[in-house]
Amino acid sequence: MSLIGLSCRIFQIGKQSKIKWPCSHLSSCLQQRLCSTTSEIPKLQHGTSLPTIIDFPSFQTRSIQAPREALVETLYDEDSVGLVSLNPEVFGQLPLLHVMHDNIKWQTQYKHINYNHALSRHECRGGGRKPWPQKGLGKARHGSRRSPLFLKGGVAHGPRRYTTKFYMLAYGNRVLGLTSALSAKFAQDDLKVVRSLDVASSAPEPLLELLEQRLWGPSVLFVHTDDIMPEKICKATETIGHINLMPVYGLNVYSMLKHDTLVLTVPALRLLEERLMHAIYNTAGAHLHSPTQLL
Amino acid sequence: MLAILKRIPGQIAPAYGAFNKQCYNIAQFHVDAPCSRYYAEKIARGPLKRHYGRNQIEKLHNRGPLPHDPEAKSPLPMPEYRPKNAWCQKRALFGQNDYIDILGDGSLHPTDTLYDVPLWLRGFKGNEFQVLLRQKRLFGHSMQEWNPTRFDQIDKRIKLLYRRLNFHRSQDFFKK
Repeated sequence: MSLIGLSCRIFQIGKQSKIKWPCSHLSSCLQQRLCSTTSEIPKLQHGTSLPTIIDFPSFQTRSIQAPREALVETLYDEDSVGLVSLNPEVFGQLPLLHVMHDNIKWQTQYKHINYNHALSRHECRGGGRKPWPQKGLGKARHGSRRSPLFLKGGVAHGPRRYTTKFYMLAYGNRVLGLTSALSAKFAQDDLKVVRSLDVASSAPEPLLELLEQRLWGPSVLFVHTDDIMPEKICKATETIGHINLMPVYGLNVYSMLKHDTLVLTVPALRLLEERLMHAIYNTAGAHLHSPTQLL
Repeated sequence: MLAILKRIPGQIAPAYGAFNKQCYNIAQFHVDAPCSRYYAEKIARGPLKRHYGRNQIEKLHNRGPLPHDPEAKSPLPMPEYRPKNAWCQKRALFGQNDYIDILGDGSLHPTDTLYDVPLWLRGFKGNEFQVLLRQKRLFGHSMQEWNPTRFDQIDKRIKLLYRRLNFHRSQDFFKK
C-alpha cells in the first residue's frame, strides 16, 4: 500500500468523523509505522498522549466486501486511540435470526436434564396382597393397592428420571451463529473495541459512570484473550452482576445477546477473528456449512 | 349493488325476498346519513349490552383474576411474585464455554465442560430403556452390593420396557 494512498485515507476519515485526527502531526517515523503491515499496537504508559493508531487488515479473506472499521478506545481516557479493521466475514455477515435462535435453543437444551421422577406401581412399597376377593362382594375387582386407580397408588406414564435433551448443533451452524451475533452487535453499534481492560481505579462507581457516559450497557460483557484479567477491572466488576468478564474461548451466542454491549480488546478481537476464520475455512467442518449462508 | 346504493331513500323498493330487503336497508343507511358521525354516535350510545346470562348483567365482574367471589373480603390466595435475579452468576454467565471447540485451542469439546451434568450423562441422549441399560452397565455391580432394592427395581423396569418396546407392536414400528 502506497504512502500517498494511506495519507489520503487518513484524511478522508478525519473529514468524515468528528474526532480530531492529528494528521498534521504525522511524523515520518509514525508514517513508517503505519506503512508496516503488523497489527501490533505499541505499548504506551498511562498519561502520555497517545498517537493515532491505524490498524490495517492483517487477515486473509476471500470475501469481496470491504473490511469494517471500529474505533479503538480506552477505559481510562476519553479520547479514541485509533481505528482497527474488522474482518467482513466475521463482523459483516447478514445476521440470520433463525440461526441465532437455533443456537440459543441448542445452548439451553444440550445440557438440560429433567430429574422429575414418579414411582410406578411396581416401585411403590406394598401392594402385594389382593385387597379383597375377586367375587362375591359386589365390588370392582382389584389386584393391588398400588394400582394407578387407587389413592396413593403408582403413576402410569409418569416422568422418569434422567430425561436428557442432548443434541449437537451442526458445526457450521454454530460458526454461523457466532458470526451472525457478532455482525448484529456490530451493525447495532453495540460492539466496542478497547485497547486493554486497564481502568483508572478498582472501585465500581467510576466504571459505572464511564459506561453511562458512553451510553454502553446497562449490561456489558468484556472479552479478553485469556481468563486472567487485569486486577483493577476484576475488583471493580466483582460486585456488579450485569457487568461481566469473559475470555475469548468462553464467548457464545447466548451471552452476546443477553448483554447489551460487547466490549472486545484488540488482541481478543484478533484472536477471535483467527479462530473463526479457521473454523469457517476448516475442511473438517466445511461440509457441514448450511446453505442458509448463501441467503 | 351500485344500483341499489343510488336509490332515492323515499322510494319504496319492491320486496323480492329477504335478500332484497337487506340490500335496501344498507342503501338507506348509506344515503340517509352521509354526514352522520358513526364513531361519536357509537360512543354516545354507550356500551353495547349483550346477554350474559339471565339477571347477571349487573353483577358481572370484568376485572381481576378469575374466579370471582363478590362476597369475599380478602382476595383469593395467590403466591407472592418473587422475581428471580436475572444477573446472578449462574444466569449472567449461562452458556459460557459452549463454543470452546471453535473458539478454544481445539483440545476441548463443549460436552467436556458440562460440570453440572453427571459424568455418565454428558453428551448422552436416550429413552428410559437406554438410560437404565447404561446405568445398569456402569453401576450395576456396586448397586447390587450397596443398593440391591434399587438394582432389582431397575432390572424389573428393564424387563417391562423390553416387553413394551418389542412385543405387541405393529410391523410398521420396526420398519422405521
